[in-house]
Amino acid sequence: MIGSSIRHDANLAWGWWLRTVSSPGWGVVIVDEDGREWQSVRQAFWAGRLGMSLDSEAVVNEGLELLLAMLASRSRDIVGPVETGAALFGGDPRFYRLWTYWLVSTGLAEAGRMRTPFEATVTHEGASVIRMLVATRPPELADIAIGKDAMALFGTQGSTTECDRERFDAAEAALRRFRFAVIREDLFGQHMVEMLHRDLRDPIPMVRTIWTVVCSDAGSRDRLHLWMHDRSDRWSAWGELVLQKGPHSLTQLLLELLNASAPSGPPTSGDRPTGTHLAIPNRS
Amino acid sequence: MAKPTVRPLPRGTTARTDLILCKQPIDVAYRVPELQPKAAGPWRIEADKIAWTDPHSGYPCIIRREGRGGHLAYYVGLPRAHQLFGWTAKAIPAGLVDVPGDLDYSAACDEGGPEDRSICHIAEASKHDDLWWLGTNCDRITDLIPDDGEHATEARRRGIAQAYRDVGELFGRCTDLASRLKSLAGEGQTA
Repeated sequence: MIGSSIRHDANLAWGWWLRTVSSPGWGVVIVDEDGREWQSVRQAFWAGRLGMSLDSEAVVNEGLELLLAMLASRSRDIVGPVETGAALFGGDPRFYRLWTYWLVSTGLAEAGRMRTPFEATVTHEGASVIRMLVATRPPELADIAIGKDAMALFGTQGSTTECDRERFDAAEAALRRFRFAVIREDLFGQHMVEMLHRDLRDPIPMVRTIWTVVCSDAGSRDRLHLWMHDRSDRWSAWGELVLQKGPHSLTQLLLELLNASAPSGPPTSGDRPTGTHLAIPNRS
Repeated sequence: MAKPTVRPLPRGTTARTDLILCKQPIDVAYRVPELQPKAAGPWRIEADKIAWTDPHSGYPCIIRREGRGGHLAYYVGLPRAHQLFGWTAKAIPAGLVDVPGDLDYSAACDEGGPEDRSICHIAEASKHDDLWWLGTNCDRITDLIPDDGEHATEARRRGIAQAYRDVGELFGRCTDLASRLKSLAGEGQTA
């Protein structure tokens, strides 16, 4: 198994120890510590580390994207298990449970003796895999808003780095691959959260507003905005949903996800920490 | 941004620039035989695309006959500085722009389209380089669509009386829409 004897460093992308060599007929290939050759680091990880088949490139990319989403979710520890199950696994709890257990079995996440796999944290190798997967995504997946570039563009709410319409519109070449952004804006006396879209094939390059929700006050608007920011890795999927099925589809999906992310226990005293969940009152 | 150029008119289309509609001089009116409904009716004496600049708002306006059905639709062009520039019709919050049937059109200038039917400003008349058009079709169940028998049958089945929304009526609606959009531009950013 590739990497079994490596001391993994969360600050280095997985596969940092692999070598590249020129191979007749194949161009440059990746060579692992056992001398096996791979066409890419992603393939080396998928087949050499996880033992998966390389039969279908589509399946490989799909699996790695799901793995990245799971690891990112575990790493940030913001999105709860019920919502993760709804968002990533179409609400299928069996599929979600199996993946959660499998993730721990791979060693990319660890639960220890005192925690369940649902509470597992990402290991150094898991963090290293996140770095590799973000850096090696195929172009058609590169617009998903995760990683350092996304952080640079979308910033943090309330700080000078927070993304707004002007900032998104003015994004420089490398950052223009991010086609969707969620911003907050006060317009026409209303407190809004908006999704912006940039179509790189558009003959007239312009930022379009494709989805909005009006909130009753600035506080609830800001909480919704933060909640959506915590899930920036889904903006591409949400944006495509709006483009294909209309803005109401996203509104409906968000209601489902908000319901799934709402605390299920009895009401607690005090406010929830800002930026983790919307303050949705429990029904009792 | 390139300004639209004046393109040759398709065969059969005629244009007039000397008309006055509801006391408002228009920039151009096109008769486009291809867009005329097959059924006879008051539309026979109407133009099929009319473009003018609303004097109150300064926004370009268009009334155009739709190819499928032969009913009319109306549009207002917003300059880049307007807060709703680039907004898709369905993303505009409910109640912000109140028009019968809601807005259902939002697009940049159709600069490549035929001049006699494209939703794009008239080059000589407009000072704007590029515009974002918002508009709506008169194809609700209460609207008569000249060449859509099924639509009329469905209205009868529900006991709904239909009326043809003619150029005169849509001139008023389009002017109202332009005024509303202008007033929104005045409200601007509030924070």
